[in-house]
Amino acid sequence: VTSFNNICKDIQGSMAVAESDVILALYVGESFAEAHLSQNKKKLHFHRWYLGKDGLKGGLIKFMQESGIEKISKAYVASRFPEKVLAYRLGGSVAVLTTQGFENWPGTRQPLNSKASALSSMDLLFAVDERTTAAGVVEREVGDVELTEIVEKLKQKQAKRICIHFLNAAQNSQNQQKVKSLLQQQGFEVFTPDQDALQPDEAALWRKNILNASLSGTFEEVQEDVHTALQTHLPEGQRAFFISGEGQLFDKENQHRLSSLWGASHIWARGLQQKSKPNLPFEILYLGLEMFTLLHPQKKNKTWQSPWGQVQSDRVQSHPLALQPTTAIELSPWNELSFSRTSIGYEPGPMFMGRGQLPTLLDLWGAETEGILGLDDRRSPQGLQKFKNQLWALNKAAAQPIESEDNLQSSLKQWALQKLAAELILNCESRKIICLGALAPLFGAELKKRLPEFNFEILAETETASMLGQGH
Amino acid sequence: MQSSWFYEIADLFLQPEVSAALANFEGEVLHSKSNLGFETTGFRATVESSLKYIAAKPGDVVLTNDPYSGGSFLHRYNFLLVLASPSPSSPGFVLCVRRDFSPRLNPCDRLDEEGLRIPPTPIYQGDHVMTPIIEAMSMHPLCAEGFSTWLQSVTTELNLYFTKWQNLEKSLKLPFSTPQIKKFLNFSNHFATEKISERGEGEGRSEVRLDSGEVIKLRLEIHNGLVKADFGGTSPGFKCHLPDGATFGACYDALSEFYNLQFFRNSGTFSILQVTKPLGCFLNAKYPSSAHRGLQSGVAAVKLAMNMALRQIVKTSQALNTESELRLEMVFPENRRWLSQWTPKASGEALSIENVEATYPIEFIKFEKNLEKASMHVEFKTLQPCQLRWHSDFTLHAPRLPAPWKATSVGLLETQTLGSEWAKLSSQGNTDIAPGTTLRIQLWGQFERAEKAPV
Repeated sequence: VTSFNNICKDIQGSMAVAESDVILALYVGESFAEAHLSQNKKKLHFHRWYLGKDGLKGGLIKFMQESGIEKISKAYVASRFPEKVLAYRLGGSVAVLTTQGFENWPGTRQPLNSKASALSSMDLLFAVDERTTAAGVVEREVGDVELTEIVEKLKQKQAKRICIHFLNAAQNSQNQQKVKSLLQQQGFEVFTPDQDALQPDEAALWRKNILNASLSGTFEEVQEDVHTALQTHLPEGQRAFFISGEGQLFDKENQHRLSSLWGASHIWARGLQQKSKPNLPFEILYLGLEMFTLLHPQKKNKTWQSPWGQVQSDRVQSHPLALQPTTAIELSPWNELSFSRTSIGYEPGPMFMGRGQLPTLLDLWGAETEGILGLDDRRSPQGLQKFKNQLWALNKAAAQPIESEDNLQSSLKQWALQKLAAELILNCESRKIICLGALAPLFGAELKKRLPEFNFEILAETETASMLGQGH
Repeated sequence: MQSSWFYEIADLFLQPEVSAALANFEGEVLHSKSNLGFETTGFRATVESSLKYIAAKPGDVVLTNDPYSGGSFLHRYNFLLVLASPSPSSPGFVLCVRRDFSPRLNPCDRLDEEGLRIPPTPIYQGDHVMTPIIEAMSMHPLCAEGFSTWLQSVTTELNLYFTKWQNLEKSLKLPFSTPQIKKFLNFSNHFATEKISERGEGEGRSEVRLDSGEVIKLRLEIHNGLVKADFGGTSPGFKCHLPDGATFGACYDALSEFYNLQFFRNSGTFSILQVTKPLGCFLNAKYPSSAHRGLQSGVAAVKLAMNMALRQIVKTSQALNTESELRLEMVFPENRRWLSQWTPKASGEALSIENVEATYPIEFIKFEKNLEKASMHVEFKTLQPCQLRWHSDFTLHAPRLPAPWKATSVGLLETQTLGSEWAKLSSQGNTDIAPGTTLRIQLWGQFERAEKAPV
């Protein structure tokens, strides 16, 4: 297995950045994008925008125009948009070939209480009469006749992307290679699991493979948007590099698409580790507009607990906090005001932004979002008032309502900060916390007051994207 | 806001654990969770039996796995950590954590032959590991290898919990006073009572016969949101014995799933249930009866009886599932053991075929599951001789079901040696298996409707 450090050295060797180079770093979230232009690590231009309004391509073109910069040397992209794809529209035309007897594995291995729709459609699951033992001995080879029949069926089903999941293929990939070659000759895009992954559960690798395949179409669309927007700015023939959860830079390589979800956290962890004193452990508290999460830079997660079960993912260990920026406020079973377990996101988003229908955690701070790019321009006085009214109505329905509107909002804020603080106490393994993200100046400062035993460092909001372009 | 606040903090505190509870010094369970739902009510007995004889102070750790003191299977160890002593303003807090170590299938008649039974025993007191006690336990012939090292590592983790609790108290000035805790439990009780009463009341009866010969007779009554389960007429134990705490837990677990109360497992919600078990019946087993079969098949049978009776009282479109499972242990040369649990509901989620094949001389042939009907079909071949031990239930006869349900098939464990027919195995036993033998497991998890169910 290639170590992460070796990969970094390789990347640095071939792609070293000169001081005069202008670097674009782009962070694409589910609903917001952040772009940062720098030269010799100094900010030239920064902006964050709501994707629902300007889109990715339009926003990026506008950003480049406003910056007044014509030429850039490199562009690096970290994206969380696959999360949105996974939640709303998993790619449909992915067929799966599996060793006979195990072909229904996506259903068999899916967690019982998962509400997610199946990872793969039943009529696109195909059995192949082949078998390799755990010792790597091929017991049954794939027959040519069967293979021809399968190709016919795949064509009938209009499948474009094919995943091959053969038991013990990591021990001996003879059967897998034979099928892969034939399918590629027939013009299919073929996905095979990572052979080198030190993963004891084949289903975790197979799920990752299907998710990579399912994301392909949308991922390519996003890549095309970025490419079109930057075409005239980047050197001829060069495209933006996406960052994988393992820290690798990629463009067309289809095996990294899912792991791009964790690309940003990898770069933040690496960048801050390089800047911090050796042997001084720290945690990163990411307080973004869309997500609050605690990252443990020195630790790795080998799997991601997805709605379909464990998925192989070599990434910086993260702990999403129980409270998120768009966690809804509701009445608890005890008929008290409380925070729900669900996060509603930005479509339509918090009420203070005008279109939201449910009060959220961020609404409590709605009036204090002045100067926060992405929120400042979307804050509406009517929205703020609507939130106050709705919260007051919810409070009236509680078993023991709070008497004044001022007390109501401050009590809930107090409670939210207490809960965030509790989670830090329970999950931080060091005393130093580096806060990052658009909401870091707002929430980080409040948490610092409540937790004097921790050493807080609050980074400027531009750092989130800025770091993505450094150290490659 | 206090009740929600307490719930949120307790939930965060228990988040890393699979089976755990936060309780007060009186044994009242304030919040609990477990991957084996019937276990959560037992935390009360664990706290009561531990603190009755041991003067544990904050930071001390007590260990027990006794099924007759609120425990579960012998391989599931309860660690009780005192977080805060009671004071005039606070009820005192205790953390119970239940962890698995070296599970085995060792069916026998006496609990002490099944494995090492540990009554509540201090293993960490006054900042010191009780090394002589741990060493003495490790010397026991039935103690699993590596037990002492494992205990030390769990104790270290519990010390961290203690520090975190202290930090929470200090930084957040936790407002958990005795009246607030009482109010929280009252709220929880009220919530559960309302949830139950809004779906109707009445009486239901059910009968479930186990393969080992025991018969459960249940009369269930729901009135004003309170539930009374009367097991009068239930037979004594022959092979299956269930401690009374686990019987209560199984009844509550069935209720909790039926009324969707899973998130609220505390003494307030537990108190909506009263369970009557006659002396001498197998649901009120006493030491030294072995509890393994009871905790597996007995719990499944009690839950099925509850679910059948509940469906006579409350009209529902929910499927009627069996909780029955098959446990299989294969002992290969060099004492390599593969213990597996098979249920049509959850099997396969965490099973890695490649990993099993790489670790044991086994080759899988087939693994199919029908999620809609909750049925499962697995076949695998042994490549080396082994001793097979197994324990299941409902392989002889399906339970007698009320209309509109019907039990159409039963669970099967079969073997086939080269060139011979499939041979059905009984519901429990042990046998030697020759290399090349294929094992076939077929389980059902859901009863079918004979007619359209009332909705």
